[in-house]
Amino acid sequence: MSLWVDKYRPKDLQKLDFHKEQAANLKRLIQQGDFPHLLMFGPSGAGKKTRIMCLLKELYGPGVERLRMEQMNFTTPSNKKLEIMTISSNYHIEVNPSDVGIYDRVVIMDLIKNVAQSQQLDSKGQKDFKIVVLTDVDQMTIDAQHALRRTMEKYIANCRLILCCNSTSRVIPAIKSRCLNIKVPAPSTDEIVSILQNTCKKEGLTVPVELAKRIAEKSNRNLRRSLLMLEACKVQQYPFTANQNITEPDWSLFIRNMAKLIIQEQSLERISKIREDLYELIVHDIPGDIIFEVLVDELTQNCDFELKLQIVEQAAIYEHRMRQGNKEIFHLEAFVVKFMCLYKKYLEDALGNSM
Amino acid sequence: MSAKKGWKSFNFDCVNGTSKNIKKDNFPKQIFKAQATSFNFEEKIIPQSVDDLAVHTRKISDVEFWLNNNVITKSRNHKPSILLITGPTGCGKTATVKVLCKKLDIEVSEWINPIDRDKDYAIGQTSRMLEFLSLSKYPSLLCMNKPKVILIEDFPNSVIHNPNEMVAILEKCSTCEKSVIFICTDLSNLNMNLPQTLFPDELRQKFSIYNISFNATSTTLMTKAVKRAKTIIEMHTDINNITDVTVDDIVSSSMGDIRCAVNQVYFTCSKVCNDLLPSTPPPKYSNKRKRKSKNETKNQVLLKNERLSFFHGIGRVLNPKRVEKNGSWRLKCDIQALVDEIGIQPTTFNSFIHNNYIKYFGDIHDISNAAEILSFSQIFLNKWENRENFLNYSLWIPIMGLMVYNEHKVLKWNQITAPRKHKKEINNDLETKSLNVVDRCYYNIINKLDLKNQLKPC
Repeated sequence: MSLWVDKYRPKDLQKLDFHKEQAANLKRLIQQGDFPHLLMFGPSGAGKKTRIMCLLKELYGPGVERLRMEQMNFTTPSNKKLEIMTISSNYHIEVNPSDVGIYDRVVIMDLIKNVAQSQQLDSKGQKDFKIVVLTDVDQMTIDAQHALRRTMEKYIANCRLILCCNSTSRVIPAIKSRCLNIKVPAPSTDEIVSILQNTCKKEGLTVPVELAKRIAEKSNRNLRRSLLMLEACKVQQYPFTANQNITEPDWSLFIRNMAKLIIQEQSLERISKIREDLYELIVHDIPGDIIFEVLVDELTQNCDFELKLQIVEQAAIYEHRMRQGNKEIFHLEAFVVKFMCLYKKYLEDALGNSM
Repeated sequence: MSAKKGWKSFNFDCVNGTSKNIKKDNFPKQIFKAQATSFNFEEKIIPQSVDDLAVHTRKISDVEFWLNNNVITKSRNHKPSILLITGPTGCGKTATVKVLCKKLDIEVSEWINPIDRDKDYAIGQTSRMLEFLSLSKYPSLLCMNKPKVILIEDFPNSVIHNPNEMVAILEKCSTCEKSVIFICTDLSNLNMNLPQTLFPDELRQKFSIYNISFNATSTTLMTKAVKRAKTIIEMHTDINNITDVTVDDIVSSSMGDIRCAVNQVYFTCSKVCNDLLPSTPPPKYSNKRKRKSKNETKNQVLLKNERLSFFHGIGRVLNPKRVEKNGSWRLKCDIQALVDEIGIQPTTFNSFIHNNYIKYFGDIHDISNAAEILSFSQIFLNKWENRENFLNYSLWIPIMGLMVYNEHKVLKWNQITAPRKHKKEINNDLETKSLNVVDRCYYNIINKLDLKNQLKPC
């Protein structure tokens, strides 16, 4: 049983539900024949990947939909063996270099060289270049990004890159300037609502507008999550009611619970406990920025304006550092401890005033 | 104090007031001299057989295996091979090679940096070394049929400054028909890493250099060696003032450096023979812990420049000592030395500190400051350009910060735990590959899976 997200994913540039003008531009871009490197960026669940697959189909025809998974092996100069999963068709190959952590540079260099050096098998009528899709480019090390810069220029004759990331802030300027940057903004709430309704229609279900709206808001305008939420709701309770319970993701509950613990008590033991929890989240691969987001959201709920200001300021400082540095736990923990200090002081002041 | 006096006694050249004092103390010069002429300790202490070596047996057999394979039974078309022995100072690298060569009856021809003279000033040491290497294929007249090996322990200065010259030397080595052994000391210093600068990985691969790396001498072997030194001294002189306590002291203070330990034995016995000072420590130390007595005994002057072990370094940082002075305080620690002595990657060091610092802090505001510092220091670790220059900052900042901010120190024994390693899990399932990690929980709900690795609020 495939998920609704995959089942009703648009396969064609014309069939996209939103950003139609952008889709038309992309189509024109391909028809012109020359095709630059692309850098797609935008929040998750905005349809970057869908657009990339549509582009590929537009370029090469339905052949790109015959996907196969392949494990590729690389050896680093220090003789460490790396394995990475790739998804490929005859015309393109998709890989997430950050899967191999700090060794992504080797993958980038070897993989693109491999792809670029082999000629297109089916020469008649097709484009004379292959496509390499790199996902999570913002998670790549700076080293790998610099390696990419050279490779991009060297193999431009028979290989084009499509890079995909959430934010360009960690992508080095040299790469940004070598690509056509395409921003894919998150769909509006109304767009999500209509898509949810259309999906339900195709499934032969009906969904109340209120519920669709609530889902869209709860998912933070993340279309993929909206669809998953809707399907999860359907599994839990059908027919839909307007005010039915929408399951929150487990990590979100977990972080909110953690925030409660932080507010409850500010002590050394609590810090150790929170650290365990933070590690738990990191082990489950929950990205640091999401942890920050939910945590700040929950922590600021019962604070006065002045304290809120301070907390948000600190959160901004530490999140910025987290983007610059590499160890998430350092910055998350520093923020938590900072909050504890501020909150403790706030409580003491409040107590002092009332006495 | 006692130690200071002992040191003075060696200072014969001194022409100020102190020298007179020594004479007044009736310093027994004659005894000392007589010993020096009748018994050459340096000569006797050199290990004579494999049993005398204070080196792990496996390392010895490694070297022996290499010598057997590459020097004694050399196949005809076999290229001469190169062996690189690395290890910290005084772990017996040279001694092992010499003893084994003696045992296997191999002639060793060793390169020693010549002293530059005026007339051949124009010829650099490196080119003379190359000349030495090309001449060395001819056997010496005295031992015609012996197999021969070239030993290079002295590296010309210009090579150290300019490691590229190593390529020429290694190329010469591979054409000079004889196998070559390089001995290179590991320094625990971030700035100078000779084995790595002189023999980078590409060169090791290109010339297929076989590397055997020695570890610092273990306590057991060290004790054995020190006892041997003691026996040698007792055999040749009538001094036997070295007690078991002294042996323990010497072993623990020499930090795995056998040369240092042996010298200490020699110094100890020559020092006490002049009877200037009370030789045994006061009895009040006798029932104290060994660690305490180590610092207090007469051997203090002979202590090798202490090299901090990794955990020791962490302990220094987490347990800062302060000196009160005129109402203000200073840290009782040479931070520059501490930074220099940390022989591991700053990333690892910082992770270790971060994983353990909370246990040593007694106040939440202190922790907040410390956490802030740790988070700040991470920025330096992500700069790829100028990384070398930034590495030191990333050590300095957390070390200083943690030591300064630890105002309410917790004094109790805490176990140092290693930082957790987190490996990114890679989802290789085609169906869920397109799903973000954060959305995977919905997939589980929809498919009514109850996965064990689900996050559960506690």
